[in-house]
Amino acid sequence: MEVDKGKGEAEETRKVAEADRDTVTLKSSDGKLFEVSKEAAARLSTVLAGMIAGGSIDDNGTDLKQIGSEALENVVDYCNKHANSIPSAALISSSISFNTAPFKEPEEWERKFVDRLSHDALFDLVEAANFLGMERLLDVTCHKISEMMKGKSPDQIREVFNIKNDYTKEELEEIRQELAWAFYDD
Amino acid sequence: MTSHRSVTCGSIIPDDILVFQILVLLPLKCLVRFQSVCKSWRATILSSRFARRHMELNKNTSSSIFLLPRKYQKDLIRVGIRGVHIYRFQPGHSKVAELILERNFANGIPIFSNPLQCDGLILIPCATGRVFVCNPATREFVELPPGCQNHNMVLDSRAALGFDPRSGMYKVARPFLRSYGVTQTNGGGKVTYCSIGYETLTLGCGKEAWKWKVTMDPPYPIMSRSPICLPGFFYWGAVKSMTDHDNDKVGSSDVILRYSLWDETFTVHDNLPCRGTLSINDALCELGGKLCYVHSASPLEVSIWLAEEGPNFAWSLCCCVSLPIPRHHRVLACPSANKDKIFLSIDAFYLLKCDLRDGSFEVIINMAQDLVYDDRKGVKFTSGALPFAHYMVPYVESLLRIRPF
Repeated sequence: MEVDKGKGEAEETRKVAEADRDTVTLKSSDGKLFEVSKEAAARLSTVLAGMIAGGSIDDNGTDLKQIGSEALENVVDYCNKHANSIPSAALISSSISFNTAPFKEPEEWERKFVDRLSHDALFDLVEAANFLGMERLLDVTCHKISEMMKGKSPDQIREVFNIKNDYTKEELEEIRQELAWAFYDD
Repeated sequence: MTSHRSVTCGSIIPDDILVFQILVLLPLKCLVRFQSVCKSWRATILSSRFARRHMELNKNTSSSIFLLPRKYQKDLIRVGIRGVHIYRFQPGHSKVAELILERNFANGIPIFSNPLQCDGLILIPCATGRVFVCNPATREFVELPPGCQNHNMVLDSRAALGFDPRSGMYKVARPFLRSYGVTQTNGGGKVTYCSIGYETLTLGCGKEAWKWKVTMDPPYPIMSRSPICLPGFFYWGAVKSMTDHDNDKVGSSDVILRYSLWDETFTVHDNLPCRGTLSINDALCELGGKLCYVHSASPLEVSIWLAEEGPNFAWSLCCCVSLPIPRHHRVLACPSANKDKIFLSIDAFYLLKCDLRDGSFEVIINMAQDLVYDDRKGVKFTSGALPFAHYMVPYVESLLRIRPF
């Protein structure tokens, strides 16, 4: 797909701008282009940081063939929000005080960010975050999914995750009986 | 990280992310329930790798301990105990211990000795060699299969329970008495002999592994005392030599046997610091990943010694405690959520919380007089004047599976 951006701009201007552009352009599997803060991308994604440092960022849009446009939009949105949010002061201090904690609780804006997503969008975002080596986004999305799973029955879980029940009726009954206590809230 | 899609489950999230970034965040009860989602989820949730990761992430910050009260009885063989009752108790916060798990047996069980805890599994060794393992968090309660029979029903047999990092499995091990007797020497003296074997069993594995396997004989007779269980190794007190054939003096010299779960061999180590024997008033236990020796030289004092795991233990004296009441038998130790503090129970009924840094302590409760056991179904009791041992082990929740599946 052709790139719209920069088209018509004078060649010199473009070259000058390139050196200190503070954004990078990413291209989704279905050819859509997104601009993201270079600083945030490098800080939040190990894969993008590597590409930026290695000079393999294409100004006309770096191909990310594994990521669909909806997921990439969310990734970019997350990076840009992160760039604008009170940077890491809160994150840094929490990472010190909760050094041994397995997971740093999402911040308010991160919570809001994932709360508005559908299951499918959330699942795609997990894959994108994983692919791009975005540890924090992966944590936040995985945390959201686990929160979503908590009150669900095994039937609902199968539905959400598209899992086939491979137990026989008898096997299932046996397990249910063995674990009956866990099926009641106390 | 791989990004292949799950084949077995059809989920769109890569398996390793689903399992190790999402499922591990769920509460234990939820995961118990989700075993019924599909076979691969069940296998995952019950694997020791997953259970260990889950435990790591949900590190116990609870100030509770488990209590296992048990009646005393003189005759060790008689099946005089109804069963096992496990209570949760929050020392210092409450005087009530709540029933978590009970298992009663129609014909009763023999008396059990000091239980051991490892990653949420509790091992309960009975006098005649029957061994129970349970997980109060998942409510699994299992009697291990019978192993080699003890010769002449030797009393007060013990067992060890621990994690083997090399195989990733949890194992139980115990000594058994093959034969025992006294012979006369030509000179008229008496020589006692005994032959002791050793067997191990792997938990939560395939059905074919659900049996005891006899391994190397211990080089010296193992004593009927609780072992220290650390990852990869069990430490037993053993009798190196007895000098009873002189008739005038009875003495012994003890050693520590270190059993490696990986290569299933014993190595012999010098006995504890400050004396050559493990006296009847001393106890061994695990404390914060270290070997702990609770030495009681007189009824009103204990000293706590610690050593790092390793081929040569360097024991160091951690603190000395002046007991508020005299011990008759021995003082047992149990770690608390605060690494500088431990629980000490004098004769398994008088509970102290002791500061390892200076030996100071606070009295928590006289469990015989003041502790109320509540079965949460309306029945409450206090052991009172009845002779009870109120055994304690650390409160840990885990998904670890005991039975083969």
